[in-house]
Amino acid sequence: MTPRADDDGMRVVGGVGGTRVCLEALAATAARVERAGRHLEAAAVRAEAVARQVDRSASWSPPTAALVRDEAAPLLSSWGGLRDRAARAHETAADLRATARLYATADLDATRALRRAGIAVGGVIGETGPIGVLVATEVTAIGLVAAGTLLIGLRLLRHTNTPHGLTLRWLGHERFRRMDGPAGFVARTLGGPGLLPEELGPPSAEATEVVVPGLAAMVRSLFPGRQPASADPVPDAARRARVLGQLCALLGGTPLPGLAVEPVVVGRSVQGPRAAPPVPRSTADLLRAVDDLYESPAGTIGVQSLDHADGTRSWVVAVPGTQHPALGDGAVPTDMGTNLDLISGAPSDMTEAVIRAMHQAGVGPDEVVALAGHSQGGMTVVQVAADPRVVAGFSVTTVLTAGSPVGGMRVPEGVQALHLEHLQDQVVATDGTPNPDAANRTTVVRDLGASGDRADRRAGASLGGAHDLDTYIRTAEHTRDVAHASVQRFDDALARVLGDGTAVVQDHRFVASRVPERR
Amino acid sequence: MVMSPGGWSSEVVGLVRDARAELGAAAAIDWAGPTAERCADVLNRAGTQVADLGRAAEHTEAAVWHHLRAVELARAGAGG
Repeated sequence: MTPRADDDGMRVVGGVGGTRVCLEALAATAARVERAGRHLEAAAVRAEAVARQVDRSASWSPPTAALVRDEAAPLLSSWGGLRDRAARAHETAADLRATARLYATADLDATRALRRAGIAVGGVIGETGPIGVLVATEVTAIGLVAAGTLLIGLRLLRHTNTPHGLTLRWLGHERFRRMDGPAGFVARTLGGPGLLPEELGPPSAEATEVVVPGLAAMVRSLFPGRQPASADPVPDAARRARVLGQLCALLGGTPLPGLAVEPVVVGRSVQGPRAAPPVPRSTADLLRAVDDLYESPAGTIGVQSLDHADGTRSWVVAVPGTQHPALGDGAVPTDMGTNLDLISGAPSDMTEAVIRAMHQAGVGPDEVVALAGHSQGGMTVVQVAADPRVVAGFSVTTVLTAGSPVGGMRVPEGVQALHLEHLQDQVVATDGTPNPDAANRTTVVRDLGASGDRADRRAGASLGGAHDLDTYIRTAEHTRDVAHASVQRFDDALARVLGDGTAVVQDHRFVASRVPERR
Repeated sequence: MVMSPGGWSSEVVGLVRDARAELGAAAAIDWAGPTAERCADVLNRAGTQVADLGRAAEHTEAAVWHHLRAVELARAGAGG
């Protein structure tokens, strides 16, 4: 099923309004209609038996038998009678099941086929060894250069007064550029000012997501020996890269196997909406809380307590993204090594740090918690929410991620998750897995190129801008205008944590760092 | 087991009532798909039509019992 889009380039996937929930609802509806049909069929059999019995006894009382025939006529009618209604119920149930099948296969088949093909090709190239990879890289590079040269040549040719130039000008006409489908794509490629198409920016994250498993399969296959095929090679490739990084750190003599989580700021009590920092009221405010952490030392985790007028307390936990490039175990746990741990599904140091920070801040088992994270922080909070200790000891109800590759990660059933992604953000595609369509997981994908805001369009044209938290905060602001049941369900769950905006907020901050001795 | 027309006609009423309930429950399933509204319309309309059949079944049931009573009396009269 094609997700609905609004005017600002937003698409909503999953959640209570998502395909999976629709499929389940359609299946349940079809089952009930089918049962109704069976009841009507059974009723028809009995009504026909009644009519036969009454006919046999009609000679004893012709007037009452005639009355029965009159009353039973609508039931026995071939148009609108019990058998007719039963047949129509079965037809309706069959239609509902056919619709469900259509929804289930509409979007996925082509993507799945491409993904499988990429994995197979990547595996074969990897098995040929480094030389095979070099050759494949060279062929790809030559292909890209040839395609670019051809494109520039065609765009130059359209300025000539030749039949070819005239044809190219016609193909790239503005009227066609506004069209969807292949004709629109060709027109946008050939038309418009300049030597390169206006829309030539970062590739779509959805396209990258299809390519990544193939690259991961190639990396796996480069390891010595024949590697068994895997339907999802990304976690395994991440695991191997992580081991290599740790090995390098070990050889460099800098392993830091311990983890310390220490409070750095306690206090800053505020009351009401005029005080600073503001009481969080929305998804955008949660991301602002994450943004504040980038001003603090690397590895800082934000924990806010919200004391409400009714005496209850809730919590907001904010986690930043990657802050260090190390692949091994450096002092800063918000590093690339943690990214690899999270992608591979291994327990990460930041996950452990967040859980410790929640304990140290005094989060109670019955106090509802909203977790929010940007980039790596999003992966971390998803892993925190699914950690058995957190499921058993805390009441996490909502998880917000921005620009995080969390498609391969699990979110517990009782937790409502909102994943914000930009079509131009390549980071969200690094797990090579689309976010699952589940009742408790809603993904909002925004095409920054279609935004009415120039700052968004500019951000969408660069790799960094599309992943930037400021851009995600603007996207979060726009989700308020998305009238979609899935987004609404998340907002309702978040509102139960944030309250009515009058809570007394207290900030707690903790810094996580790797240390030489285990703690 | 031999069922009298009266027994059958009572069963017809019950079965049509069950079918009506299933259709009502199907129409009430809450989902946000693009055809959900139209689907609920179709099911509600089917439910209304089945409800009409339910009323016809109740009237038939009453007429059957009336007929059975008349046949019983006629047979008793003929026997007497």
